[in-house]
Amino acid sequence: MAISNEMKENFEDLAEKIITKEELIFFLEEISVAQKEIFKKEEGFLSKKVEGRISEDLKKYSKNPEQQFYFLEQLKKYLLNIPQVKLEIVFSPSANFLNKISSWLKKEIGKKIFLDLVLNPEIVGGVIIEYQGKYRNFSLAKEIDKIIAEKRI
Amino acid sequence: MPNDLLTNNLLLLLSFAAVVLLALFFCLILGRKKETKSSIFLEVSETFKNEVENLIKKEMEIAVLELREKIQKVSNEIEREYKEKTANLVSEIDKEISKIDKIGLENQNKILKEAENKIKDLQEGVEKNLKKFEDVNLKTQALLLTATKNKSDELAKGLTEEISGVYQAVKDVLSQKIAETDREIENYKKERLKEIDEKIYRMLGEIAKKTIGKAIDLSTHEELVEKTFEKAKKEIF
Repeated sequence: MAISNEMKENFEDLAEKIITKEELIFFLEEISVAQKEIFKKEEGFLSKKVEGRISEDLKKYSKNPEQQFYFLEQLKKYLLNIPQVKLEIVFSPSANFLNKISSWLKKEIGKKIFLDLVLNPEIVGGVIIEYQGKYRNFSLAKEIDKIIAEKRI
Repeated sequence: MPNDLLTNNLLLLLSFAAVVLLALFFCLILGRKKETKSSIFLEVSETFKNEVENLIKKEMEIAVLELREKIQKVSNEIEREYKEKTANLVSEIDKEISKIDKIGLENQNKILKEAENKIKDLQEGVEKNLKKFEDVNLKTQALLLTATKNKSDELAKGLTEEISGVYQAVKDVLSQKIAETDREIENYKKERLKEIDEKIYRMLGEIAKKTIGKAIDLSTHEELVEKTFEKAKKEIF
């Protein structure tokens, strides 16, 4: 079964709501839960079966069991194929900030990217970015070390 | 001489005594022969035999007496002559002894004198030789002293040169070692100072990081990250 445009749009919509890797993991967990419930012999729709256990967003797209399963499986694949950028920062960012960053990335790169956030107080400030094999240290700690080294000489 | 006389007289006496004894012996033997013969041819009476025996006895006694007298006489004579001779001999011996003494004394004096002269000559000779020896000794001493002095001067010079050479060499080595040690100390000082410097700067960096980290607020952090993304756009994305 090929992915239809509708499905793709649905995937994009769902992906839009996920910003961080943590959220992705959590969402994938929900998919697994839903997939497990699809073929259970309980009466009722999948939405009813997974009531309270998965988010509302996921509940919207369930149809017949095979389609449902297929949909969820494809969704998992789609989500796992979305690139991630590792960001080492020194503070716990707000949702607003994360949205800002995510939107900026989508705008500049032209595709959706998930943020893999790592808290590292040692960098003092700024950020260390790792993306597709590239590593750049834009931390304040590095700048301070550079200044100290210059002073030493 | 007295001895010869005595000997002659004794010989005479002994010979006379021997003759008498022989005569007696022959008489006895004849008597026995006659007895045997008489036993054969003639019987002699006991009285005759006794008379003959008494006669012989008497004669023998007389002969013995005479002999004794003669012996006494001769021995007296001998003794007298011996004494005379001995006295003469003693005086002659004394004379000779005195002569010998005299000669001995003369000889002794002579020998002494000669010995004294010899000793004197020897002494003079020894003194002369001693003097010569002293002179030679003094000269030799002087030579030895000079030679020793020269040698010791040479040795002292040589030693001084060697010692100064050794001293210089040791000094050079020591100077080298000191310079090396100084260098090592300097290097060590530099290393330690460098270590301390690095430590100080490391600590400065850590303090700066801690201080700056505490001073920055959340909005500043967010601003920093946003600005960084602008920078990262070209390098990463």
